[in-house]
Amino acid sequence: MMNQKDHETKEFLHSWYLLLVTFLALLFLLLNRRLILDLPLCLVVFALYFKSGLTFSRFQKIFFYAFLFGFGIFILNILYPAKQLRVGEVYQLLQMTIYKASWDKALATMLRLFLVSLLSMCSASVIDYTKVILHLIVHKGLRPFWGYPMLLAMNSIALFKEEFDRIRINARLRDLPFKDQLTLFFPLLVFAIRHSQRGALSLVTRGLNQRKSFYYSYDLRSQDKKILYLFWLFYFGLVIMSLMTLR
Amino acid sequence: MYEIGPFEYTFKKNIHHLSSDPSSSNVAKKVFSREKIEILKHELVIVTGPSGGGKSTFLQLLKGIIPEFSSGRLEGSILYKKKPMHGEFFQENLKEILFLFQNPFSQLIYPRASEEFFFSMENYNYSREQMDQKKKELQAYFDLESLWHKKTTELSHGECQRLVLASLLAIDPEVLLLDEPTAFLDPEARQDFYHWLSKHKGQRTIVLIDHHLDEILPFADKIIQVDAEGAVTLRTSISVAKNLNIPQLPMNETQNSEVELKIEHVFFHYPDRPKLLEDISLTARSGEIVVLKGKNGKGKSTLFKIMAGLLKPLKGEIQIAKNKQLLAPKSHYREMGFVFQNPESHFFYDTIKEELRNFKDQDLNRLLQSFFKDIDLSRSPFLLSEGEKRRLSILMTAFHHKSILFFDEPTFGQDSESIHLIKTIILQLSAMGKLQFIISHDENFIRSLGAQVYELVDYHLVKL
Repeated sequence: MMNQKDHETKEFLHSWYLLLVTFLALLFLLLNRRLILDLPLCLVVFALYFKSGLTFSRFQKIFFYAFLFGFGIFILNILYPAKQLRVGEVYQLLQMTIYKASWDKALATMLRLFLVSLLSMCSASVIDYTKVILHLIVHKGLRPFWGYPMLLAMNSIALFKEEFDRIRINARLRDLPFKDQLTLFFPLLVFAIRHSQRGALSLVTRGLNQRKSFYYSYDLRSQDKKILYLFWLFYFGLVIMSLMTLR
Repeated sequence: MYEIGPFEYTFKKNIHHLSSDPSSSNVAKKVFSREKIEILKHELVIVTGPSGGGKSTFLQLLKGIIPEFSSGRLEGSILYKKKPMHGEFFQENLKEILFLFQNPFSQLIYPRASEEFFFSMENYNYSREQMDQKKKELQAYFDLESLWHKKTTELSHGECQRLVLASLLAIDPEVLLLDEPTAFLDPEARQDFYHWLSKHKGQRTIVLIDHHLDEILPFADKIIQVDAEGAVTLRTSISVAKNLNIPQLPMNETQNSEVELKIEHVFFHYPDRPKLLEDISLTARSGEIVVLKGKNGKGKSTLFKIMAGLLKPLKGEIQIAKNKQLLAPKSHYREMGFVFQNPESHFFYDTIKEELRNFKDQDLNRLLQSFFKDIDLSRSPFLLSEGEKRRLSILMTAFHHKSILFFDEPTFGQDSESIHLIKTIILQLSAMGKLQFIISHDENFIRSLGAQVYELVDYHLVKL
């Protein structure tokens, strides 16, 4: 039998703490003015993600999408710079006039957006949100009547994907006209509504109430606390350095 | 314990009968009882009747879900311990009366099976030691060990049903209302459940809907029938319908083309999961019926999806030849029809009429009369009962001029009359030259088809 310990010690860092780390990192990326300080922060956060189960192939995929998004914004910023950036040194590239100020600004924006997208997408693939919700219910006072419907919704995502595949395939097997295949969302919408209705009824009929016990405790381990403590030290170091450069 | 009726619950309107009798239109659909029915403490009651009659609605009335969460109108009384089921008493009854829904996937709350099992007990404040004890008790009946490390999204229908059922039974409720608890279970798991039932009979009140009447009737203290009109009556005995008179279906054409489906050395497993299928080979031709059986979670539905080209095998290939000409894999789907386990995946339109628009009017009327007693074609297919949805999905697929048909659990949720109808359809389709693959746990149904039967055992396909 899988015991309590086996169940909860598989991840390197508890998902709740991974979420906190991600939130702090995103905040820093958005507020910090010195790009050079973003790099050590990202290195540390990605190291935590890789230890928590992010695979290299998934990282590569996410890197590609994040780069595409960042590069798109870079091009837009160069093509349509703000009025105050259309001053100073000018380059010519493919019959286009590019202002140095807008180039620098576009590059900085691209890098920041790229890092923010990369970080948030990677976090989505390593953070187990069901564990976060359960931790909040058990330890942080989140009401079960709020938490369990959220849990139900999180678990539905995989079912929706499966149902969507079935609907799509069925449309093909039934030789539906192309225009009707565009309305695939209709049966999926019905599925979503009915699933949520049945799920809600199930919560009620299986006796969900405010005073419940929990088999698994979803506790934080001392390892989690140590890692978070070290991260705090590192993070405050970066914040202080960032504030010093503002002066 | 229960004092039922007289009562009348009206829950949908404007049902048009297929007959041309104008007086039969605009009749409100209802479930009702003109007499008083009592269910005594610790009785085991079987609810039976044709699919679409209102058995599930009746069970929901016993739980109080209806009218508590329904827009229908209830007149008369249904009392539990002399108190009504709804209103302020609904919360009171929650702890004593537990309900298992027909669709087990809708009841999953947790992402892991090991957590899901404890959910009901957690809600009733069991200690960890009590929960461990309950797990030990139920382990043998529901083979929990094989599910324990799985994610709930990875479970098959049968596994999911086993898990939710075990979770409900763990809290020893006073009343258990079970809506088709064995519908997706393989014969072995079903027998284990009946064994549990026989052992615990007399310890709690159990009301259940089950179409395996031959197996369940010996345990019953009472039989309640909900007929096609929704009338709820107490019965002393019930006969299992045999040799039913099904009208000749409009299926006189024969298929001109010969098809052959060949599976060659197929291997498959899902990413990051243990092996599922190994070295599977099979050849079947037009007119043949191939039945696939096996325990829950052994890969039957997965093999179907591979054969239908919905999943790609890791090794091996699927070939389809039409009139001895090999078809390109991309065009395989043109020859195939698939009846999924969840019939709602089949529906795309607002009304049943739109779903059936490819049928000729004359054929359609005859088919509808065979498939349904009453049906309003202007209704949404999503509002049919589970059994009716299943029949509609079969009708839409079987008569779609495809030469290879896949049926995943076609008899789930069907009464004996509907099962007989489905059997007739499959035999007639076979006579027309269609190649059919069927997954079923229903031994009687399988025997009646006279089909080639295969079983998935230890990742391999074995001919029986």
